[in-house]
Amino acid sequence: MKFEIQQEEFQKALDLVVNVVPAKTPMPILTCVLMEIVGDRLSLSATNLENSIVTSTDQITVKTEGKIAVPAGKLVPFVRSLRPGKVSVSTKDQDIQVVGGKTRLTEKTMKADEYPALKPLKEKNGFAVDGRILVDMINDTSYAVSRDETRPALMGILWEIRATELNLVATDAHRLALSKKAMSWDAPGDKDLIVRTSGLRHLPKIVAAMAENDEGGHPITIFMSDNQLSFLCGDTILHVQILEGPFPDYHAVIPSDNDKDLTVDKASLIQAIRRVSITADRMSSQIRLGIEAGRMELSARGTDGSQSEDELEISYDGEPLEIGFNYTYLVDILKNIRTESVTLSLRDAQSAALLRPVGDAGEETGVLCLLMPLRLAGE
Amino acid sequence: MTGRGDSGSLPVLPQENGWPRSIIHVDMDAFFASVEVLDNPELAGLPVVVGGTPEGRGVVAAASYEVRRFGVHSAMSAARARRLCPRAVFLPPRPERYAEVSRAVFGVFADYTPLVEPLSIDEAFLDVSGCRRLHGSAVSIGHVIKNRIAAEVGLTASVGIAANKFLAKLASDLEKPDGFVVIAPDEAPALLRGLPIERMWGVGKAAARQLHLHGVRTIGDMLVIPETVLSAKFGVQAARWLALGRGEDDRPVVPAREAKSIGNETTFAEDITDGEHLRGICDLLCDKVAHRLRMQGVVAGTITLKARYADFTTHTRAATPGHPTDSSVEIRGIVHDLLENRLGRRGRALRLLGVTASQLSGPRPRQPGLFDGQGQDDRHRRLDGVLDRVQERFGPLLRRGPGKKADKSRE
Repeated sequence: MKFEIQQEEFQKALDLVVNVVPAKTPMPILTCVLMEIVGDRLSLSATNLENSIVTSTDQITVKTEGKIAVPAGKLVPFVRSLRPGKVSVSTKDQDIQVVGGKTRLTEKTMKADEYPALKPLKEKNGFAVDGRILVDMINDTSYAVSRDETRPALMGILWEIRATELNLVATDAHRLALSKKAMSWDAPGDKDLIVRTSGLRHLPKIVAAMAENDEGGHPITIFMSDNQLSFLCGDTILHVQILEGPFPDYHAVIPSDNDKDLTVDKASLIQAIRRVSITADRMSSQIRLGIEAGRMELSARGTDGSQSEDELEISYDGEPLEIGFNYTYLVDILKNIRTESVTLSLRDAQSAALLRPVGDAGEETGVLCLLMPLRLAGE
Repeated sequence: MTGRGDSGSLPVLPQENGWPRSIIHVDMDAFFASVEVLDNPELAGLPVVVGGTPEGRGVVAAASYEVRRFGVHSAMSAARARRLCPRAVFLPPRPERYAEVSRAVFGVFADYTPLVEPLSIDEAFLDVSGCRRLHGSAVSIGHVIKNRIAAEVGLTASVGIAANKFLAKLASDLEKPDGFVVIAPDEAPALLRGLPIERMWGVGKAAARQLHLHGVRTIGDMLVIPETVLSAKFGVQAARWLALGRGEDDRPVVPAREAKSIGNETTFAEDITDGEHLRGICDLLCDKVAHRLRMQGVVAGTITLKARYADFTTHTRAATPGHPTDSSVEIRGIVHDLLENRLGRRGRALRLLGVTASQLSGPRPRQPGLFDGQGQDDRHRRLDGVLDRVQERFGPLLRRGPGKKADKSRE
């Protein structure tokens, strides 16, 4: 294999795939990036067997075709460190040589045949969507997934694909985030998939690297198969593993009778929570919100007897209510809400709270978050 | 040094200025029974038994002084108590209420010193060595605490004051109930010499029997024995006994949260190799520890398994649950894992197993889940509550089954 490529183009392609290369793996071949030249295109692939990324470019000068597996650990930092300009890549026996100007890297390659084969996409199954919509929906939900490996289904985001709608749902069983969007697409019928979040987290970066089309959109194509959801984004394909269910019945827990609605400035609420959280008990992270007409009182009491209080103006004219939350969950949700105001809907101190972003003109954003309050032991 | 303690409203005993430390031991009088009388004044003067049933099931948790005259005491079976005092009033225990009153009492302590070491729900050591300038002498602080508990909580406490923990505890017991006794360092030796050896801290029934065989009935009897002779017979504890016997005790007052743990251990009649059998014993120990955690309203951040092999080598393994727990099922799960995967027993026989819960903390707010109705956790927590109430009423008759685990392949 022998080709020439501009340093910027090479680095961009490597940066897109290198994030899925696992830091630790019992299979050394997975520490490699697979490089292949077919015709006039160079393709780079990486996988951790759960998620895979393949990208390709024709911005190269091909001397000879070939296929090699190169450990990413030295290749990627080396290419990043090179000055802009022409880089030539060539193989000799088991070695790869990368030369930029007078700078040269020689590295052992591994057997390309041992690299896990990636399934080709079946073009006819695909359906198109604007990538930025998906990126927003993933950002609106992914923070709420579980990190508990004993409940793998909760480590994924539920995709409810409908003829004219897409719902993304993430939950760790204490809090939940739902993003609902009307879609005009050619999705092939109703489908519920739990999609690995670690894979979906690559999508924003891939979409950001795409060239915009004439209308300023980022058209991407989704492909569904039995065990993966794939996203074709220009010259790059992201394959993400589908997880085994069942996903908990989230419809059943979205409250419809929370009758105490209040609206509050998000930034002021986050700041007030941060101030009182200084005295919150470190194990439970509990803060109390006391709500009454026109005002919200925040307080936290430490096990050492320390206590702090703060107060906010809110738009509310209902009955008073006192409710406890783990403030880290509450701040997590607020930070991931993209509007300046937030609506909080409550029923009582035991029932899940509903949080919704409020758009500038009060329009529906399709985003909804749930948080269970804390209950004192014995209550 | 003059003038220290002048701010106190009560006279300062001059000799207190020479004390190495000032320790107060406060012990509530017949605590559970007194709380019941406090809440039901018509019971005043009656023989009250908390725990057990009038039908004679269960165990006495507490007995009022009226009923103690008949020989009834805590840990006695309710059946026996009823025979001793047929007209006794039996009441079910109300742990939440006792905890509430206890918090009020400990709230009084906290006004005088941060150095409060609770021994149980109704008993604590206070180190007031550093607060004499602020609050007056230990004697005046002791008086104020005793009066405030009577006025604000409505209960009597016995107070002992001395220069160390051993003597302070001894003092509170001397004139119980409603006692107030100060033992100055120079009075201690004479007082101690006449006391039966059983009154010494660390001397249990077995040790007392051994000491009796050597003609030691009082602390004074023990003090005349040379240390080498006593050590040869009783090992390392001999030196500690002699120091205590002279009225010396340098144990510090350790505020609650650093030191406390709840544990149960059992030595087997015969060494045990069978894994299933050992798991069953662990389950029993875990259930006991979890029950005690729940009765004290605390959760544990660390669970420790102690195992002693037939050759007396002892190993401990500890684990930190994902969140502090008082759940029988969770503690069983942790201990099973320690026993099977962390201990490295490899089929060897054991003679002792122990389970200890430590890193204890007060009741924490619980984070309920969105899907709790769809899962198992809630059911286990409710079962814990039911078993606790059964145990309160009838004693430890019922217990959880072995659970679903039936993995015998490891052994």
